[in-house]
Amino acid sequence: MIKIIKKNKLPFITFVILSIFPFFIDSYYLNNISYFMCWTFISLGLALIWGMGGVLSFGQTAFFGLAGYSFAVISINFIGVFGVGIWSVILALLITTLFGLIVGYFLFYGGIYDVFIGIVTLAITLVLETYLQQTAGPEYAIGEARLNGFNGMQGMPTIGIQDLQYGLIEGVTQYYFILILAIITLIFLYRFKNSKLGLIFLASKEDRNRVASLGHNVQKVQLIAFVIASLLAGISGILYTNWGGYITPSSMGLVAAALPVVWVAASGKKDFFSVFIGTIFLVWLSQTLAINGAQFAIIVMGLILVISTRFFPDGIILMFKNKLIEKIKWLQS
Amino acid sequence: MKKIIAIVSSFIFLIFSNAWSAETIKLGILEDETGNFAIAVVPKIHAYELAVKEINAKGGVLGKKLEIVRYDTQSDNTRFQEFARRLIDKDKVDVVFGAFSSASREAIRPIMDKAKMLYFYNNQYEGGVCDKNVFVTGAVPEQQFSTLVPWMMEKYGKNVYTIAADYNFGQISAEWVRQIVKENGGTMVGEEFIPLDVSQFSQTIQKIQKAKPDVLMTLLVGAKQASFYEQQASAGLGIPMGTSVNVGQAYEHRRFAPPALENMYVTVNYIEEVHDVITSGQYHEKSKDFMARFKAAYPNEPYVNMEAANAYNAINLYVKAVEKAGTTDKAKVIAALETGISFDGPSGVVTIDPKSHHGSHTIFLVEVGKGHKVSIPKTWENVQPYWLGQAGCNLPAKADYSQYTPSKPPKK
Amino acid sequence: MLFNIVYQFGDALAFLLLSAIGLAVIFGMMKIINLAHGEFITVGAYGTVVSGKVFNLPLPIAMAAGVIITIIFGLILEKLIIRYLYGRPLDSVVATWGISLIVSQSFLVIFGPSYEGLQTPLGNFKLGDYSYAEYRIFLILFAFLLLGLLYILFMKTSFGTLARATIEKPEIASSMGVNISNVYSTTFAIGAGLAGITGALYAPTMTIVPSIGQAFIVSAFITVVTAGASPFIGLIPAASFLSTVQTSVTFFYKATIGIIALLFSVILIIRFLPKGFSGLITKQK
Repeated sequence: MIKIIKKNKLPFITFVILSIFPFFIDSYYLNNISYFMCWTFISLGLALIWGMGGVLSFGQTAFFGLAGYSFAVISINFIGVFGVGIWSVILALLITTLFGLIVGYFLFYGGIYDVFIGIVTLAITLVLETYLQQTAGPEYAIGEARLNGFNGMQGMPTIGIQDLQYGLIEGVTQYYFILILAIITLIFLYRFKNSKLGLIFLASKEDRNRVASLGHNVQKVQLIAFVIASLLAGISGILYTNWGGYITPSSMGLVAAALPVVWVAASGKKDFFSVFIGTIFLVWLSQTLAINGAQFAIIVMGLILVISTRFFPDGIILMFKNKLIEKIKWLQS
Repeated sequence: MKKIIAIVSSFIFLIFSNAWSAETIKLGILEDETGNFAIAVVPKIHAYELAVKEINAKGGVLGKKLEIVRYDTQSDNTRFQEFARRLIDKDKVDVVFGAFSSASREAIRPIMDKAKMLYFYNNQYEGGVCDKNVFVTGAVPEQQFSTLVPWMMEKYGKNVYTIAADYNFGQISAEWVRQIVKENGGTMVGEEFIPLDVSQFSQTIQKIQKAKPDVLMTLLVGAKQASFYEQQASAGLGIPMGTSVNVGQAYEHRRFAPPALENMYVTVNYIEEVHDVITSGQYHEKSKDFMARFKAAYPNEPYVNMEAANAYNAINLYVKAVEKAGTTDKAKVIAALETGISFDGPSGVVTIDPKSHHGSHTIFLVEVGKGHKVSIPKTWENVQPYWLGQAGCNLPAKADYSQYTPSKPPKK
Repeated sequence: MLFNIVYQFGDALAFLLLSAIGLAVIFGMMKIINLAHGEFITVGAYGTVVSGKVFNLPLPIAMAAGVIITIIFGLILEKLIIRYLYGRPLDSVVATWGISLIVSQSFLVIFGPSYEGLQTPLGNFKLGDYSYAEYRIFLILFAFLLLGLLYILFMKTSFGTLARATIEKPEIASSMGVNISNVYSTTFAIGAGLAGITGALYAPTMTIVPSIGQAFIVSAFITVVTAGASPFIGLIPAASFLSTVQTSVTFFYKATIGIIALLFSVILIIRFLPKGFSGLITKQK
């Protein structure tokens, strides 16, 4: 543990600062930061498969949406049953992981590579979106839960144990829950990166045939990473559904599918911490621009993306991080 | 340069408005100034501003001025959620107005209900929202279809074909059409549901021609699906069309080159042509007066649609209710609105139905003729939003937070 | 009845072909994942409609103007941004996404949420129960003509050989004295111009809104990807297959299921024909 901190002083300081936030800022801003952090998991999953393994997926949103919908369907059906706000989350994540396993198996054992993975995963998320959009009628219901088409599902209980009046719906509890989950995820990802599996995965990006010829089961490693990524996307999906009490098919659409790719690439896809900070920063930025910039908001957002890829090919946040570490001697390990 | 002045002055306005925010009534507004729906929404935003300006010029209400807190939701449901929370938690507004699409309304309704925030939805829609905190000033299917469909069947024949957007609004509207056609002794000769992303309609046009309907109901939504009209005209389809969405929102009859919309009938509760077409009487006077004030404030507005009238009515209905309640306390304002408050607006009196929280309307049957010339062959007065109340929604007696459809009415 | 089936199929086929044609060059050949492809089409459409309205041009000349504007637009983008992305296909996602946001929003700011549309040229004729728009038949024929010209340009002329060789092995081409930067920007401009043609052709049949190009983007990518490594050989079989699936499923069920079937068949094609339709054809040769 000490070793990890020594090696990563900047992330450590950042998380210490984040963890004392609730003592200084009011509830609106705290909830807003919780909301920004909801989106970091889907990005971290993409950074894992894309940044490390070179597998560009546009389908993270399929897992995001599937998890959100599963959570909604299960929890609405068993509303009032003890602990539904906990075990429905676990069940939803299991369903998502299983789906990730099936898709990943189809991809990696089906010999699909490179840009084709992007197109297949995009097609999967668009199929889910298109199908769910037209499920407005009463015949599209799973038990008590109506899928409700384009307008989306609502009325699910919040994560937590309602019977004990212990929900994650608002405030400080939600904030710390997401923050701790993010720290655990980041530590796990760093460990994975330095494990044997991680090294095989990293090497498979450069030349998967050579790695395979050394006797490593590349497909298995790719599949494991893909499933982890789908699980992380699922976590984002459930947190988002819980935050707004609402999930719609458009969270699996074309625009939604491109967003994680943009966040990860603009932040610096090779560094998990940069992706974590970058996602928060970009979601915050697009919200702030929408509040202040009126119709120029989207143009400014576009300019930032274009300029960052043109001048900072490794990602703008990663560049800042490296500059900072370079300037401040103490931060170096 | 004009833009810069506008931005700078709005910043100055913001600074000053914060200074006297303590003595104002804060109205939160969430509308799509940009994105897919902007075309129909911009006049709505201006109508809110006009209503507020007029009320403030008369000294406000309860001695307080009205203040607008507005965010651009960019036709994006996630933005609606983010900004609904901001209005409630940070800006601490007294009431929220807004949303164009039903999906965005449904995105913020759970947030409104959780915070017990008073919310006005000011758009025509598929109907059925029975929610203690929500009031609706737009028209609903029983107002638009039970007038339009029988009239068209009488005039053109009893075989009806529906093409509808394949999502909640289209499916529920199509359900209404089906029911009304059956009640009036007609036949549905076909029904097709089309995904929102579709912009090419050759196959649809051929299917319609095969079924040979007398009347075609086009419940199409969004810019992509609006391409149907140009394509059906160029294929020479030539069947009378009826709808509840076009003309009255995104003024397709002005934007598209004729003959794309010729032979189209639509029921609206307001459009800016009302006083040009109806040359005397109360509707002429009221619309003329409203348009004069609107154009004085926004001379470059391309079109004043029915949602603009709904937005204008909503602010006025709220203010009347606050006056009656003597406070901005939400529960008391809701109680005041439930006494059946009415407002005499751009197209006559709108009264809130206490049971369902929806407004009554004057309904104009608009015909788009040769060269897209508009006429109004018929007007129905004081059309009630009757369905929810009959189906068992009774909000003053029993709080509810659901949306119902004819095939899924309230549990009795 | 037979004509009716051919017309419906041809109409869907033309849409897929014309959606994909510019992207076949920019993504199929140059490997730029151009998420702004739809906006290139938007530029072509607005170029046509606006120049037609402002200068009161007859439609064919307005269309030509629209295409030229798109070519210039493409050249400028290439010089400013795209040329730094060659060989970085995955980074091109972010940059072109940014371009797409900037362009569509700028159109909204400049021209407002909607622009007055054009009337579809040519008339219609009746055959049995059905009537047909002549312009849509023209679109089908034009799509095939355009594709034929492109095939000749890239497969039979010396420029085509040079372009393909340069993009395949830029270092070697450069060492042989080829001005690779010029070849790249010319090829990119051709791709942009083709997208502009798509926009110009469909402008009179659709609602003119800043998001008009987004109607094409999914069709474009799935057609180019299923076409495979030699897009100009694979486009017609790929688009034929996809439009057959879509129109027949739409005919027997409904349009939503048609789109789902289309996406599913793309997944299956990639799985079982990893080199796409062009791979299938070149193998048989």
